[in-house]
Amino acid sequence: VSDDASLIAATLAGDSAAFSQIVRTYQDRLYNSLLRVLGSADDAADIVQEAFVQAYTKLESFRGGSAFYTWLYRIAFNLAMSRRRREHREASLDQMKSLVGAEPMDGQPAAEAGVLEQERAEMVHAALAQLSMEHRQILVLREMEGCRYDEIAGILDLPVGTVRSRLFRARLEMRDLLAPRLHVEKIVDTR
Amino acid sequence: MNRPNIYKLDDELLSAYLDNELSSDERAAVEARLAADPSAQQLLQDLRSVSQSIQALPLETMGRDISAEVVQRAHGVTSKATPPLSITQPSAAVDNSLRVKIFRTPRAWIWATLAMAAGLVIMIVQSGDERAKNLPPLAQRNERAKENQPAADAIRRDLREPSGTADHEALPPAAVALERRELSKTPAPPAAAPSQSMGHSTDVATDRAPAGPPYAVQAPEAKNDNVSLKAGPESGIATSSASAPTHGAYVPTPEAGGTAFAVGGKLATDGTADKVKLGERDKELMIVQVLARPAALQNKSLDQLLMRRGIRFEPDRSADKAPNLAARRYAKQAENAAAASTPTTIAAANQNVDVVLVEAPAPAIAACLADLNQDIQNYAGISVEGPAELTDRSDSKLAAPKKTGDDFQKYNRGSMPQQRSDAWSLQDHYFGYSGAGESAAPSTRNGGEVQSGIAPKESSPVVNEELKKSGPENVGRARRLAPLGAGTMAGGERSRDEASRLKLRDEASKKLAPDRDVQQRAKPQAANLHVLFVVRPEDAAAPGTPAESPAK
Repeated sequence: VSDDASLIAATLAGDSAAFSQIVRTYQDRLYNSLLRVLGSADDAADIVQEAFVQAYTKLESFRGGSAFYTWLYRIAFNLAMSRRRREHREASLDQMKSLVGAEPMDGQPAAEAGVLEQERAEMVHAALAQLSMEHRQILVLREMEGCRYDEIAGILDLPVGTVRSRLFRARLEMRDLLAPRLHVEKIVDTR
Repeated sequence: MNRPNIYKLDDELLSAYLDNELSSDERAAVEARLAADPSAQQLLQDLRSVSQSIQALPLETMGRDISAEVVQRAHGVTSKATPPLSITQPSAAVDNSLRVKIFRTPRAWIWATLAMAAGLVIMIVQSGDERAKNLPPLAQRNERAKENQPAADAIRRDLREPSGTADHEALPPAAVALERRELSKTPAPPAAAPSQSMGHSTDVATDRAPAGPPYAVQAPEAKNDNVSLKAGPESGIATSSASAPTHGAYVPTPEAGGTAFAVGGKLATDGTADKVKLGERDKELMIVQVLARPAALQNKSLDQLLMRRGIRFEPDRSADKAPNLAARRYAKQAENAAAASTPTTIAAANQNVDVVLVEAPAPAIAACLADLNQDIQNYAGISVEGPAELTDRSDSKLAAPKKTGDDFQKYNRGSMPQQRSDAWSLQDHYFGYSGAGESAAPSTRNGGEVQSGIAPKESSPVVNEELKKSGPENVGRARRLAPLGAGTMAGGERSRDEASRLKLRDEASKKLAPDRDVQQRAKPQAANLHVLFVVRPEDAAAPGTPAESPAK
């Protein structure tokens, strides 16, 4: 955070190279989260870039009351919401497939551990894509970003109680989506 | 195979327990339940499995460094100044002192809005002129128009913006609404013209806005909407006859229950949206008193008339459709105040008195007056007073009062249209107005003083009392009524003013014969006219007196 503060100060002083360092620090982390939320690599990349541009132009308004990344993430989240409203569509499962490849066939045991891990990731990713945007968002913030409830509440502008209940429901939905796959894997593992 | 998501409220705590987001008491309760409830243990395990599955997702990367693109794009954004918030130029290549901050103040937004509105009005006015030019002119009308062309030109010059920046041919864009108040159960409107000093602090920015007077209307936060028109600045009624050496009459402070209207090139703000003041130069105020038939009052025909002439006003009569919240709030307050007001002793106590204050170029006002003059069905009488400040102050050779003020007097009438013979020339010149119902009874030069339908009101005890109270404003009134240099009028008592103003106006009129060389007139000194329309019920003028008094 102290590094962030110094880089931000340098940026505001006119050192654009300092902001380049900030971009390099956070671009992949932000991209990874947005990829899971939006389901589209292209959309995620666009939002990441746009979020950094906005952060740059509005950097003067960043008061340092929160972590820079939280502030950045909120910008990106708002951009993502705006885009979603504009396009009136959810990320489709097809987009997920184009990103992570074809859905593995049911019941076919993985020959190698690496393949199994990849398939498992694809399965989880596909399940995320079936959630509502709200549930995807909150799961990503909690499970991938590791945000505390109050941080999530700040980003999503929700009461902490809502964060807790929404996260619980999102997990339940994910459990139901993953249950068939997990059941098959359990059978394979016990052979 | 999906299991229904039926869970107990405590199940939610399991999820939070997983995240270590419970208080110590909650944690103790959850752990007690887990110890005794296998289903809770299973649910916790499921939730943990879901969590781990997501956390195990591989970290995807963009595969490239986008920092250069970001910085480049950001510089492009800042150079275009598109972001709505403060824009800075953090680049080392840019001096920090040159950081651009746009629209940080309400004032900036106000001016931006006004500029757009002004542009729109200019387009409307220009297109209207085009239509007028294309009208097939009647031969007779053309004859009169030719004869009176110099006078009309001179009048137009008179009404131009007096500042140096107004050295353009175009008239100010039409139609600025200042204020509308509908007063119910209020005393009679003032018989006196408002104080001369209606001018107000002029915003410097006004002079930098040659695009013409934009118009912004701010509905007032009126608390005293039920006040009498004779009230002073506290009333918020800008056109009261009360003396108003300051400009508070026009721009009462919110705490005084007044209004604050920002109009056109006369707008001045102190940086907030609530305080807007009129320009110092707005000294040309005309009062048009109209006796309306009941149907006209009910149908708000004046609204329609103003709208037809492109003169906007706010708050709109249809309060529910008022374009902004403040206007709606004002309308509602006015209704409440009217309902709460106490009955007065005058005959019009139970009648509505509609007061509309507008600012518009003289031609537009003239057109409205002509409409009123011709509309016998809706209006029983029209009385025009002022403007009188359209005087030359720049050229001693032309130190005679402008005829413009008198020109508007021609629209006075009683129950019958009564216009001077050149009444339509102004319309023809500016609007190609069709004089289909042209007056058949042109008055004398003093026809402007007929005030037939209004005259009884002048003798109303209430009005007389009101006039007595309005001492200092007579200075301005006298100046308005008297020829330039008629110092004898300055400072006169109201009664003396009333008694002598007709005579003085006669003298002025004689000096200003219609065929005088109007080309000799002074440079424009006047801006838009401020006109107060006081619409009263026909039968409220003076009970027991005829609606129309004989012309002088």
